[in-house]
Amino acid sequence: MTLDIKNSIKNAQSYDELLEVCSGIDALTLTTSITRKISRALKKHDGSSAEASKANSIRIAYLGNVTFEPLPEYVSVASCCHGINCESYIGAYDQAVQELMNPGSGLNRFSADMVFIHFTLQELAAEVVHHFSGLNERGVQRSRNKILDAVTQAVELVLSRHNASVLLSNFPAPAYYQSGIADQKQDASERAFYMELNLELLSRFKNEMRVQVLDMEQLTSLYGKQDAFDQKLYYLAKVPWQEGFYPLLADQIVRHLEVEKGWCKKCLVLDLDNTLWGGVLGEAGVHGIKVGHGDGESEAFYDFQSKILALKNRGILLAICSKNNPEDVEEVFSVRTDMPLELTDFSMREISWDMKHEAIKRIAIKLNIGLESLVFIDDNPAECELIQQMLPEVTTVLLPPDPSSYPALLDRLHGFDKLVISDEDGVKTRQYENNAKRSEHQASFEDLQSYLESLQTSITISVACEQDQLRVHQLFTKTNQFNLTTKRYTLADIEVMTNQPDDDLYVVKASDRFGDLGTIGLFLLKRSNCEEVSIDSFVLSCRAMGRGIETAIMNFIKKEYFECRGNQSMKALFVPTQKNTPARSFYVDQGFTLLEEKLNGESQYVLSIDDVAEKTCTWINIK
Amino acid sequence: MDFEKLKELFADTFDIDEDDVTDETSKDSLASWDSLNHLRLVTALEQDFEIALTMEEINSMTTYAKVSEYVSHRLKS
Repeated sequence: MTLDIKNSIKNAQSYDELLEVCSGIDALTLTTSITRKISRALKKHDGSSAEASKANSIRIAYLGNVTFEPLPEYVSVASCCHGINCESYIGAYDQAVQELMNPGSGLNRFSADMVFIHFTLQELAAEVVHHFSGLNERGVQRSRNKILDAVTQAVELVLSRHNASVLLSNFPAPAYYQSGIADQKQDASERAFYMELNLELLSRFKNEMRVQVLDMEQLTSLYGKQDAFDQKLYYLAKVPWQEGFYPLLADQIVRHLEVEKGWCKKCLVLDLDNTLWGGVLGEAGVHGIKVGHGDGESEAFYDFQSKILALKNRGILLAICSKNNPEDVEEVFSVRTDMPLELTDFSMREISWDMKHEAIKRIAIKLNIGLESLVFIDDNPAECELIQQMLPEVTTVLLPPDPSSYPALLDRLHGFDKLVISDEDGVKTRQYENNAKRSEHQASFEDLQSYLESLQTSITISVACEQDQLRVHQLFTKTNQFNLTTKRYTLADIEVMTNQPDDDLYVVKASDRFGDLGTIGLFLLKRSNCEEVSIDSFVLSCRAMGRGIETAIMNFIKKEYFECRGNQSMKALFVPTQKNTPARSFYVDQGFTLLEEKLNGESQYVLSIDDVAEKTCTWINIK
Repeated sequence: MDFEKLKELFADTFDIDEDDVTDETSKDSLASWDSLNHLRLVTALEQDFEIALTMEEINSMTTYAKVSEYVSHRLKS
């Protein structure tokens, strides 16, 4: 770590300045002393964090039977390097169950978003660690059940008594087996024991969306088991890991935190020459560029493309941003069928001799997503520098000189992880493609009205059920523009509201002549008594904006609550953010009256039964 | 050996001023020298000076003078 960074950490005047310094640090290279320095600086600026950064805050609690320090410090600092403000709570040693059950515990007061549970078998099932070769099959079975019961009890306690998700560590097999090579022929194999134990953990919590398993077995293997575990500090103070392992472990925990919060990039913008293939198309020609099989370089680019295709299948949109002739590029994709990627895999193509920052801005506008949800990859340092300067919100990645390390580079990037990959993710590219068709279609109309009518939009509004929870979570966490209050509810919150009789959570699905748009909106109404009802959240995905769906939804709400349920008035709140200006005048447009506007722009509206009038929205069919 | 680096590391670990670090600074005189910060000190020393302290050394490392003695000893051996 350079002296420069040390000084910048020391000299940072505010939390935000510190965040900026940290954003330049690769969290995987942190050391204890640097972590300590940043951690101290973080504490110094605690509380001075700007309102804006609160949106990027997360609270994590650590429970288990080890000494967790210094892991929480590493996680907080690694979070900071990724622009996240992470607060932590460390439970008392081996008191997980007590803390989880006691309503007066420090854990309860902390109110975590996520509880990291890590049990080591030394304490939980010492016989497995020390006398495995002395166990028979029944003994092994008994130990396995004991471990699973202990873990399940802790997890269930979090789920039932706390408004938090769980990050559960699995059990790494030791570096060496007690029976050595013969372990594989034993009736009770130590290796098989750990594999089965971890498999059972996975299947037990597979369908529980509030539980993520942290693959400690894989992580310690990745680092090297001999180096990951620290016998000396474990003997002295029950510290399980060696110093060098913490950056990797912290990085993985931060990924899980990002997944929990739904912080995910939406689009990967790629250069072509020396990025998707080797060589310059204009010089080497369609058959001269390197990609495919036959030589090493070509294989590296083939692998890189395959990895990119896998990201697309996760629901990440792809875009091309390249200085080339468009027709040459089209020829490559039609002739070079030995490439994993096809032209149709890209939702957007900006192929011209324009400045790249202009092209990237156009990509964001056309896809209707924020610049901060873009990742840009290029091999040219000058282009990367330009994007970093002109569009600092975009995550810019400069490729290393050798393509052999391109594929691994994608694995290390943050922002492409999701809790689950939904059916909707699989067809996302097609949905955006349909959007492009819609725009083309729109161009053939003179007036908006006849265009909207020609779309034949129909929407279905229904009470959210269990299957909707993940999409609801996505909409709550990821929608920025048409989001009236921008409340970022967690999965635990959503589970509560679907079971709470005073909360009415509805989801809106839409389709039109070009295809299915999926679940594109939601609204949450809270009833305090039979007379009064307030709109807590109203969210519409950006891909469904601009065709009056919000009006159709509001007409439904008016009908449902005033006509059918007999409410007398309805309250609504608008909380301004940097991004939700498209929704600013929504309640006034829908006939609500402004009651109060605070200095920060937060506005309270009301609609009484006497003022209720449905707005014309004949071009949308409500099913 | 780099005494300045050692002093800085020591001061950072216990959250004190470098000028307040003397040979006599000890576990008893320093409130922040608790068992957790002791561990932090050990790991930071091992990492930044690329040494491995023995369990015995770790347990008897109770003053700054001792810390400095063990670190230079390990650096020589």
